[in-house]
Amino acid sequence: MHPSPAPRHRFALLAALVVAAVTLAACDNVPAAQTTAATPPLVVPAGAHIVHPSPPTASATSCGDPTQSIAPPATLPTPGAMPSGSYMAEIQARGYLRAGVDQSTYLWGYRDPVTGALSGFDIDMLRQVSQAIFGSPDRIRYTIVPNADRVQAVESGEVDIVAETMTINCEREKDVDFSSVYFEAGQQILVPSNSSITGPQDLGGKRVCATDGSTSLNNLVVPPVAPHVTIWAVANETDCLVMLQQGQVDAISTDNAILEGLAAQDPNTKIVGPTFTQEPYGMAISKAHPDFTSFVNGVLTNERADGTWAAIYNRWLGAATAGQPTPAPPVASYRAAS
Amino acid sequence: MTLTAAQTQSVRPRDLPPVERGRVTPVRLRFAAVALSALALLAGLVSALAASERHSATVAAWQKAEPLVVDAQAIDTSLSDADTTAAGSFLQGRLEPAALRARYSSDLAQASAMLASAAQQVGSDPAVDASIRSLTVELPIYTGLVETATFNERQASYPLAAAYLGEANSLMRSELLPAAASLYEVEGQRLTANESSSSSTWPVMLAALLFVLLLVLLVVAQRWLSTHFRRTLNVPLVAATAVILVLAIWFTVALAAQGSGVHSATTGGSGPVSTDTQARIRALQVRGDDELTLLTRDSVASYQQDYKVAVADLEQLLGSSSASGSEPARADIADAKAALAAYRSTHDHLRQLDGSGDLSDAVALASGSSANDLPAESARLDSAISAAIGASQGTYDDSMSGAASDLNGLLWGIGILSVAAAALIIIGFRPRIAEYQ
Repeated sequence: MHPSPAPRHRFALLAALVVAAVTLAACDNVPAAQTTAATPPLVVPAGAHIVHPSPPTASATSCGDPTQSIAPPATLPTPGAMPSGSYMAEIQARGYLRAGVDQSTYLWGYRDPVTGALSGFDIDMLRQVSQAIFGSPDRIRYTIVPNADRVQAVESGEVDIVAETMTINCEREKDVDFSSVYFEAGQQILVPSNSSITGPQDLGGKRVCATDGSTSLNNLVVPPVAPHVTIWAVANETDCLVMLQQGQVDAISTDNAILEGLAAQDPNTKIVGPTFTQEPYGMAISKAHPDFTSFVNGVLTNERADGTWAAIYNRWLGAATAGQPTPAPPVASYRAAS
Repeated sequence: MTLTAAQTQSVRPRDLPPVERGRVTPVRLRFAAVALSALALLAGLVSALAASERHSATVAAWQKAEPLVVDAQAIDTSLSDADTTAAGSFLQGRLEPAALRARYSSDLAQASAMLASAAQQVGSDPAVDASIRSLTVELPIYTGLVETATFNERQASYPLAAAYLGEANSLMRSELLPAAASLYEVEGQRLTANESSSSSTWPVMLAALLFVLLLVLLVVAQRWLSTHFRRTLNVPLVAATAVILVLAIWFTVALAAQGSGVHSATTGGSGPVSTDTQARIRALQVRGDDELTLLTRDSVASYQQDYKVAVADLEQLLGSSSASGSEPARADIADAKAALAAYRSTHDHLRQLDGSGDLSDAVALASGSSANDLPAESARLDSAISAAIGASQGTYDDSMSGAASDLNGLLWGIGILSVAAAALIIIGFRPRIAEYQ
């Protein structure tokens, strides 16, 4: 009167299996412990890369003296009363001067921290032009123009004038007119205060930074710069200071005007060695408006004579060159009247 | 259930050949009883395994894999937000606004905490390992760069501050965000695997096959018994058949419901959440591009090129999201589209101001606090997409919770009913076997 033992055992086994399946829970995987050495990644400013520039072209002075500009008028017109038919009258009618500038070159064209307004040596040059046209230094609309686009911005008429640490040379002179020289810059070297580099002859085997597309890069592969320099090109000269502070380059080499601005941002740096190129700065104006170039030269002539230039120099570069006498303004030279 | 000797005598089969009578049939009966009850238990076991697999896969997807995806997406979103907030803060000038500082800090805290929990939970996937390693190594470098930028800004707002910020942004976009994105791609694949195994079909087909086989055999057995013992109705076997039929129907209906729950969780929940999260990150990048254009534009207009790509991506993502999302999420996506259109027209105005030299007005538009300024437009876009993510997440949780509970009762039901059916089969056969003893 009993079920056979075999089915009872199987039944019990299967029932247990069913119960086990019903209560089945997902099991957790325990990750294996790992130890791996990590090396710090090289983090550089966006676009920074090593370049192998060609030597500078010999055409820098192929046009004679590119710093010769258009002679100024004997007297400037009264502000607010530009002669009719002149380009200045057009600007006056528009109500503002359109200027191409930089916003990240400290001491030259940069944004003031408190007011948010653009300021610097270049900006003050433009404010003098606005003062001469309108009787007010503030009638300017700024456009930030990348260095590589400066000539094109003037040629296309997008801006009336560019003041942006722009070296006067024959290549640019073909496409735009320049004002007389308002600053004599030259390429030098910026290094950390404790660096053993004393000039271009010490750069051999070192890592040096300059702005991408600038002629500063080309000047680094010819004497007096020692051979075998590793050259880093960056989008913006301030990126060079970032790389110097991060120990990724040993030196920065570009116009001393720009190096002064970088040095002012980092007291633990110094400018060393002689100036080994000449970089005369001028404001670029379209070849279509020689009357405006002449007018701007008149403004510069007055600045040189009445101490305005010296005041502007001291305002921006006085702290950086403290202890040295204020230099005389660059001497203007003009083309023979044709 | 005791049987008298007379009853036993009266039901002894008479149509079988003499040689088989009394020797073969009890063996057959025992075999049939054991085989059928074993088959009932096997069908129970297989269906329980199938249901359990789906249940645990559903729960694993819902409570383990999907939260990991959400965490991984939160790392990406927090980092993007931190980067955009940092740039926005710099546009405000030397004194960093407290609210933006707080938002930046909370973004970083969020990202770091999520990173820590992701590192604990992900297991030993090498791709995930590499992403987490890269995030862990580079996030402190990123924050160091932003702090250096902040320091320089407070000192005198030197262009150096913008240069450090640009380097930080470059690190964020070239290393950190891709690592975060690959982290949630891996987590997303894991979730998809869980979701597809929570609707896998072959164990279910096998269980269904066993149920059908069992039902057919039960019917055959009852016919056999009624033919040989002249009993028209074996009550326990009829009951066993009914129990198995109920179980088979219940199993089929519950799994169909669960499968469709998982399906709607995927299409209306986790899918749109993923799309919308991408959209949210793009929306943050779009604003970051506009801010960085003003802050660090000097050489090439790369941020505006990036803006164009990000806006195109964003529109495409919002388009595909509004085609697939659940109803409340669609309304939010419509809001997001309107907010994007408003943002774009403000952006165009900003570019026009900037292009015509009205730099101060451009900065004011990009950093101002009025409703038509860029930060407010961007916030509207962000909150509309966030609301859509919240709605889709709600749809996901509801559907997955429903899908999981569809199977909760079933597991107990399978356990009880299959054991009951097996017992009923034994009970149904026992008197017939007893007739030979």
